[in-house]
Amino acid sequence: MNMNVDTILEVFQRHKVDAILIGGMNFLLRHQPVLTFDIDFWVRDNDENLSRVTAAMRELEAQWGKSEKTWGTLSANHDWRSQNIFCVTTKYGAVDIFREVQGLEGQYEACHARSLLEQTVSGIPYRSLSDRDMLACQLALPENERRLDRVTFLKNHLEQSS
Amino acid sequence: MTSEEKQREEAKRDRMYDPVLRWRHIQETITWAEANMPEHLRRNRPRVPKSLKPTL
Repeated sequence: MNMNVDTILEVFQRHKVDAILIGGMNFLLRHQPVLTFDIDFWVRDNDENLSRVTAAMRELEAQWGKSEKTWGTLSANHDWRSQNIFCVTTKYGAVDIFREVQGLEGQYEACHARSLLEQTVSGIPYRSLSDRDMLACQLALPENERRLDRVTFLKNHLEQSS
Repeated sequence: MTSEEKQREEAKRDRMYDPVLRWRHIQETITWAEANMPEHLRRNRPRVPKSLKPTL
């Protein structure tokens, strides 16, 4: 049986969601261990793709609410445009859906072109945000919120590979 | 998008996450991450028996 993260990636893949894996899980898969328990996806922000995100999330039994009072099963006509980020629970783990990423605003197309097509040990494919763009995300954060270990690692790694 | 938006969303989810389910997800994610980390960083990677290691 696939582990939880594989299941989430597989469902996204099967629903043809156009998304890039970002955040701690992406860094962990490419470089080194970091403490992270949610899966961050940056999704292409168009109607067709957002419908696919809804279908995938509903298959994963996603739950979300604008407030705690309205928390519940993600509706079939969920409005992804009402916010830029959604932190959701699913049957298989916590998922964050980003329509926009700090430091990379309006650059989905370019970041997608720079992203790498990777696969998990079980062979599930996913798009991985490039090192250069991971660094840009970190540097866009207020200084006290940056993960300094990641910033240092990525800077060194990019210097060495240039 | 601001980091405050993200923090607010995360805090709301944390409050709504069933603790038992959350604990199970954390355990499964640790196991999955261990298997999927770059090979040289895995704790349980196969070791070369001493007898097969080159000697000087």
